Amino acid sequence: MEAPVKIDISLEKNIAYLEAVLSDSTDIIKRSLWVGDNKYWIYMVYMDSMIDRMLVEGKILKNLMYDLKTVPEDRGIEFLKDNGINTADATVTDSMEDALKNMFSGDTLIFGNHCDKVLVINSKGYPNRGVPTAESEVAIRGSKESFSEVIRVNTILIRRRIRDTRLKVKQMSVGVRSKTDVAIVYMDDLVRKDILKEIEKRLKKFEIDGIFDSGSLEQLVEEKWYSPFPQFQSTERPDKVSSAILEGRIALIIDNSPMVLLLPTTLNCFFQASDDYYNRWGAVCFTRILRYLAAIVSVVLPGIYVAIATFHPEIFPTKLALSFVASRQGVPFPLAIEVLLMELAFELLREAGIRLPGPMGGTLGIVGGLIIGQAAVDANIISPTVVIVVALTALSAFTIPNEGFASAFRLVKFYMLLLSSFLGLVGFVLGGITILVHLASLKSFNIPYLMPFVASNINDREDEKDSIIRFPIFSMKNRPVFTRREARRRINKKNN
Amino acid sequence: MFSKNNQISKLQMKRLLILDLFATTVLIVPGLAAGTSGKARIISVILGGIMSLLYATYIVRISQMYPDNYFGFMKRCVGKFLAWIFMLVYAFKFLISMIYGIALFTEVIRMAFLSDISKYVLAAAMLIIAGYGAEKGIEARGRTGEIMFYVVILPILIIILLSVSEIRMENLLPIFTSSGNDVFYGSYLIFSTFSVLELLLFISPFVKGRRHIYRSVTGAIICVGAILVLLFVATVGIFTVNGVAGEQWPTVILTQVVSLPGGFLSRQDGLMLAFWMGSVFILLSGYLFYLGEITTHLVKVKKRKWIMICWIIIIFAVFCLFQDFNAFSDIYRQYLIYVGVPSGIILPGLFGLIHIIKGGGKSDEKN
Repeated sequence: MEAPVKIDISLEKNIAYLEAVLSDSTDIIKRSLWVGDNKYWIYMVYMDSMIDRMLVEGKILKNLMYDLKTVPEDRGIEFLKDNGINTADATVTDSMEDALKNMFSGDTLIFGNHCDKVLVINSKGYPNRGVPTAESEVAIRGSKESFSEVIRVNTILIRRRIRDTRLKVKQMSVGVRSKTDVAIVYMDDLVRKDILKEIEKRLKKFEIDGIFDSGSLEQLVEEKWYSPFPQFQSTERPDKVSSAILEGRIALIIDNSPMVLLLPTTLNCFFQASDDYYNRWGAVCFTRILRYLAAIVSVVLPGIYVAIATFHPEIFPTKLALSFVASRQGVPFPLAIEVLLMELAFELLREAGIRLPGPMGGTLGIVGGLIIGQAAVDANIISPTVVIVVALTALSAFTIPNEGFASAFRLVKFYMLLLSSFLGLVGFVLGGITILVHLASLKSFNIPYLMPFVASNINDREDEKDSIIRFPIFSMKNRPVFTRREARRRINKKNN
Repeated sequence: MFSKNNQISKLQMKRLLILDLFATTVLIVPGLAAGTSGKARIISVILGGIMSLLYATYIVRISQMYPDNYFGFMKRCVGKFLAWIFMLVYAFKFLISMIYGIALFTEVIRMAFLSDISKYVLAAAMLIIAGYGAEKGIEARGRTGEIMFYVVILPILIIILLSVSEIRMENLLPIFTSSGNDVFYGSYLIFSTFSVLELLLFISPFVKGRRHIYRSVTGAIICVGAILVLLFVATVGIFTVNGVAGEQWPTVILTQVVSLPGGFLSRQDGLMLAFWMGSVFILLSGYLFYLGEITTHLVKVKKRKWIMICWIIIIFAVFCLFQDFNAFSDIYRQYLIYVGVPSGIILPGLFGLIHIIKGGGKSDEKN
């Protein structure tokens, strides 16, 4: 590891160092200026187009060039901080490394003659998408806002929703070259300190060149890399993150990523959508049950269809069994292969649909799904029942309100299909047991992944009120198990 | 953090115990005592349940004599060498029970709906899954059991409920038709199927608040006992005593004759057996888990998964030696009656007695 570089008292040396390390970097503006009545020598460094030009060039530079009186040579930088700039958001540091890191984030650096410190002015103003509209987690009722790639915009979106001094935003950088900003956001009085400590420990546990999205970070800090199930919840919705923070959970915001990670997480969290809390509880209960059923269908349907139709057709009533047999007449493939081919074809369509530009993706769905599907059925390559099974499976998978989680279901579906193809219903059950055991062994920051369906007595069964059935909001008096024990009360009745 | 403590809750232990008992009894008990106590079998089932309750009290009492684990307890009572030998005895007992469990599983599955598939393939598949479950540790086992409980118990209750309309009371009455000896022998046979309660000696150190597990244990026995009584009423009420005695697996036949409303499924026995497989898995992974525990006390192995792999190979090899299930089943029954159950009573009692003689009773009470 390189030794930290300190700012030198000589400005010539500092300039020489900066010219060397920032050589061949045309996007960095470096300029010597003489300011004040006594022509005090300063050196300014900032990233082109990453700063707020109005602030730096329109205000700070103007102020330095025209409005400054005599600058004391012995404490020039401190003087400039107090009298030369018109923003409160400025700090002084003696570390070249910190200064450069901030400069690359859009801050402006001012070095002074005979001074071993540098003035770091927060002048970030890089281009961004603003606050975009949620696309992957659409809600009919509730906020339409979504996170963007800019970490500060994202923290603001949370701050706007939780105006409390106890909301803490701890920032650190990850990646030795990318120096990506990572913000750990939590409520100081609600968070479980052991979990907070653990995530901080895990974030410091590795050294990597760069992190460009929350997905990479998630894989580096999760416990069981081999599990198809995500151990962090990712979301693009600020209201979801704010609500999670108020439940004692921790949000990880990664610069350049519009997806925020929430931890700890349980299987149940993935079935909760934002508007579940904005709509009336009866309708929400129905939707939740539907989502759970759909999740089960998305995993089991192809497998159980193959198992029963191939090995135990006697389970179906005779008419239904005959209708299945009739629909397969002339199909050259064994049923398992037929279903597998169709499932793979659907996955191909899905993948192609994602990669193609928006309007073309939709067209592909119509061409692939309808035209090719119909042609395949007409040509007796596949049976109509299999088309129905695969379509139902796909439809069910889309009702899961989290893409990462739905992907896990898609993978597991193939595992179930494989076992069912070889061992029929026995294989299907053994597959189901393996998944159950795997889920039972999973933990997210030591909170069982299957909570509240297991061990819910730990929190007096309170977590069950927001699981398959969402109880009316007034009855969800306590926070879930993610919150530290002594702060679990959420709703108190006021006696007016 | 609250988890990762290698412990399970009392509720989880109770559900695991219910599933363990359910797996061994639900298919065996209805046919077991048919030839011994006839219609009076309902009394045999109840008496067998009471005997099991007494046995559970005895085992729980002994398990409360040690603050650590059963191996440590044996070591303190009879010394390291003998404790080692007795651990081997327990390993042998679990091994035999495990092989019987696998044999029962393959036999039932092949008889009910997969006659074309080799029993070795079925056994290997189940053993691998059971090994996976055991390797995940006691916490994962507890959580799996907690969920599996609903998957296994609810369907059988639904079947019993649906069969009520077909029960004929004249098949059940009069109750007192057999001699006292037959009833008692039938009770002992039923009690022998509850011998899995011996596992309490090994599971109790993993239970949070182990001092107060008695209520959970009795709850589990009463729950399974009640299901067995209901099953008795349903099977004999529908098929008559002779009908039940003539069938190897009357419970399976019950699931075949009872039809689900709506007529969507014409044969639900396959699905019901699929749910029963869940309890067999819990039982087998339990035996493997405790075999693993015993092995870690006997030899030093760093990775638990290697122990599991070794045991799976041994169990599969021994399973392959037994070709005829009925012959093996008879041997196992004889073993249970004359070796399994008596040793399950005598061995813990012996250690308990030595412990009391050594004056350990009072000090351990405080733990």
